[in-house]
Amino acid sequence: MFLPKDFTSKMEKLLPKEELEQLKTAIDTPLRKSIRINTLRTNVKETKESLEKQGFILNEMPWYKYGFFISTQKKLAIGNTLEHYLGKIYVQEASSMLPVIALDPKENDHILDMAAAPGSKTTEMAMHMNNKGLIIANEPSIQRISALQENIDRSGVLNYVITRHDGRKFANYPELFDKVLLDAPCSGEGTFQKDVKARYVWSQAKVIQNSRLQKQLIDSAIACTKPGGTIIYSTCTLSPEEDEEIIDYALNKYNNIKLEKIKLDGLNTSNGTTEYNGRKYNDEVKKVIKLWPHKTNIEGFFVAKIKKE
Amino acid sequence: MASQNKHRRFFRSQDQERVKEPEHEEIGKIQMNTLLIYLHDLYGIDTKIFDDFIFLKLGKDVWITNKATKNFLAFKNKLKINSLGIRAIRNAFDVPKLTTNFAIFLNNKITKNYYDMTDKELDEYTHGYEIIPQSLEGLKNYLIMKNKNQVYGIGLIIDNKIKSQVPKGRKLKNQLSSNVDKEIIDE
Repeated sequence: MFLPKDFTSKMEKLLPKEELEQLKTAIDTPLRKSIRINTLRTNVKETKESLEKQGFILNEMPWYKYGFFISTQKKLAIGNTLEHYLGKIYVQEASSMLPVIALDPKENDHILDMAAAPGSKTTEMAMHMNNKGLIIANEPSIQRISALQENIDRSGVLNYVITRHDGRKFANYPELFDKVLLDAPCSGEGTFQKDVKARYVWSQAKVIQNSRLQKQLIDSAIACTKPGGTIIYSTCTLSPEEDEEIIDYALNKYNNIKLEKIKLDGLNTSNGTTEYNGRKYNDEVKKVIKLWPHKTNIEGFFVAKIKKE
Repeated sequence: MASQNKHRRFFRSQDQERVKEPEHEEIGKIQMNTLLIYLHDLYGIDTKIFDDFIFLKLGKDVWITNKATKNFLAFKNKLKINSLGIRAIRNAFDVPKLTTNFAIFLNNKITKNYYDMTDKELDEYTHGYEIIPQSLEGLKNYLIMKNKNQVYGIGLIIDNKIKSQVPKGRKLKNQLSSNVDKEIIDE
């Protein structure tokens, strides 16, 4: 198994030796497939039963009643089912469902999804909002907008506007949104398990580059959130430079924000690191959650919930 | 004029002329009535269901979205809006055609002009094949394709056959279900 040397030495600083081996084993283990049942199109019971009749085995995620791990003994592809055709299900990684659970979207909220493609979280939010309120699904890359549009269309979402801007532009619209989801562009270390190519394109230089952009994006996210509003910052990576350091940066810069704890029943989450590479982070950073693949048996992920006062 | 031009966006046509990028516009009362009559008369839809929505025009097509979006359109000169809501009807004021997504969205609100497919026909339809129906009596283009009270999309009648209008990217790509048993791996 190939893993970048710099990545391994970084993990050595973050994990005890035995856990490092467990992490390597987890990265080399095939990821469990998962789906979300889309209640804009169907109800959970009916679709679960229908898929089971076709030979799929569905196991509900203890922390999310719409999320299921799915497997089959037969040579069936979930993408070729009528449920997928109709948008009754959305093939989505288990960890990718977490930021929306933490954000807790409500009907009539005005929400900004700052980096929306390919749309798994946009469609998940619309489902929680029952197609009411408004989601601004922003995606700067025109190439990625077609996938976002296709997923939105298939899921029957209509409470959205797709915009095409650099997320940093939203700093120009102060206090506009009730909630902001910043699922930031990142080095994707959490995806190493399913995407071998990601291991080869990873570099520490890119981590630093991302970190710089992420700080600017979180500035923008905080600026455009209304007082009393919520910001979720998430990444599918494990490097503290892209996770805890961003939250530490925000906490030290703004005195009108605080972190809130995220509760996910039945998921073995870890607290954020407060010390890394000789740097000490704000103690509040403990409140974020980190998902290590070897502890959770899902993709590596990071979620922080910020409340703006 | 300067302030108007400041926010106006342009793109280049093939002959390098500056062309203004089209924008969503709310449709007027007369066109709205035309649409509602079309949806009611051809598909038997009770148009009261659209009270909470707004219809917008972009080029020849009509889009539907919820009313919360309307307030946000005030920002359209500042933000690059790529799309919003569901593309509902193509060529709305010429040869209107409901989109697959809008038909699925309306589902059982459609009470007229639908063809009830057998399971075998549904399989063929969703794979993009045409259907040879037993009867097309009373059906007009573009008709709705249903199976067991669920709408799956649109069909087009040509030479007494129904041509599947399922978008290319949405067609099922596995074998027709009559062949599925052959794929099952022995446990």
